[in-house]
Amino acid sequence: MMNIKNQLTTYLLITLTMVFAMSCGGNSSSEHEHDEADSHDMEEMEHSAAEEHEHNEGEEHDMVGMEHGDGEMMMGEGFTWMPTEESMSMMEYKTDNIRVATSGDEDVLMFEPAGQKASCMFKNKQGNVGVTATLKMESSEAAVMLLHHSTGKDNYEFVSLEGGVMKLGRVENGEEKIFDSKDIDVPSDWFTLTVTAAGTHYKGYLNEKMITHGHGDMMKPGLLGIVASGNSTISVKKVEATPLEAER
Amino acid sequence: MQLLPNWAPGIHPLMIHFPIAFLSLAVGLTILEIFYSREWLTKAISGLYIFGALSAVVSYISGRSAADSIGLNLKAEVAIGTHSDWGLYTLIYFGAFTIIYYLEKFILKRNTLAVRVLLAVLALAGFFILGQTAEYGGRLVFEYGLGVKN
Repeated sequence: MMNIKNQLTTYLLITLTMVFAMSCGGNSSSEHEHDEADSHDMEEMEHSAAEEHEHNEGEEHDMVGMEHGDGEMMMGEGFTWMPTEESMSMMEYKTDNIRVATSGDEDVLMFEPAGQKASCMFKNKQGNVGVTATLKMESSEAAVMLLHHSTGKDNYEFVSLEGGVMKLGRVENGEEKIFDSKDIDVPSDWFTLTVTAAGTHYKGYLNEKMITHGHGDMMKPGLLGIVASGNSTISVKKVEATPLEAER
Repeated sequence: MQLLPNWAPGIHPLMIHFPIAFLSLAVGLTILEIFYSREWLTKAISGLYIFGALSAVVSYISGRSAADSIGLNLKAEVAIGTHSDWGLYTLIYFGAFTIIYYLEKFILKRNTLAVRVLLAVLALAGFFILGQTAEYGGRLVFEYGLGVKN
C-alpha cells in the first residue's frame, strides 16, 4: 500500500512539474498577461492627458520640440501612414529635425539627425503587431530603428539597421537585450523594413525576407515609432501597422 | 539525386507525420496496456515512444527552418508562433515521458495497475499537446495556405 502511495506521489510531482514547465512562457499564460495588459491599458487611456504628459516627460530618444496633433485612433487599430502635412497629426510627437519633403514625385518624411537623434512616435498603442516602413538610407552612415511596444524611454522593443547589421531586441528598464543580429547588405534604393511581434516571437524582415528571429516575454502594448541617427538622412514614404490577431 | 519531390516546400511537411503516427499509436497502446499487460507490448510501446520522440526532434528543427524561410505573412504570424510553441512543448513532454516510461518499465519494473493507469493518463496529456501542435500545423496549411503553391 505504501508502495502505491509513493508511486502516486512520484507521478503527481512529475505531472505538476511538467504542467508548471509548460505554463512558463507558454502562450496561454502570455495571452492571459496580454489580456490583463489590454484592460489595464484601456484604463490608462482614460487618463490620457495626464499620461501623455508623463509619457513625454519620461521620453526618450532625445525628444525635443514634441508636437501634439489631433488625429485619434483606437488602440490596436491598423493604419497606413503616408507623409503629408495633414497626416503629421497622427503622430504622438516628433523631433524638430524631421520634415515632410519631396523626393521625385513623392512626399517623404525626411529624418535629418545630423549626429543627434531624429524620432517620431505614432499615436495608437499596439499589442501583437507587424510594422513595415518603406524607407531609403542615403548612406551607410545612417542608422534607423523601428520601435514597437514603447511605453517610455527605457521600455521598448525594436529592430534596427546600423553599420550593415540588423539587430532585433528590447530595452527594458534601460537595459538593452539583443534577441538576434545578422550582417546584411542594406539596399541603396527604397526598401521595406518590417518588425513583427507575435506572442513571444519577434522577427525582423528586410524586403519581406526574414533576417532575424528572437524570443522574449510578451510586453504591454505600446506605441510605434521610428528613430534615425547618424550623419546622413533617411527618407520614409510609408508606414503600415497591422495588428496581428491572436489565435483561438 | 533529388531527395525531395518538387511539390514539397521542405522536409517539415513530410517529417511531421512520423511523430504523429508513432506517438498516437504509442498512446493508444499505453491505454491498452492497462488491461493487457505483456512484455512484448511494453517493448513495442517503448520503441514507439523512442522513435516518436526522435522524430519530434527532427520535426521541430525542420519546422524552425521552414518558419524562417517562408517570408513575410502577417496573417499567419501568430499561428506560426503558436504552432512552434506547441511543437516545442510536444518535444519536451514526450522526451521526458519516454524517459519516465523506460525507467518505469525496464529499471524500476513496477508493473502495477496504478502505475499503468498513471502512465496512460500522462500519455493522454501528451496526446492533447500533440493534437494542439497538429491542429495549428493543419491550420497553417489549410487556413492560411502556407507552403501551398498557387
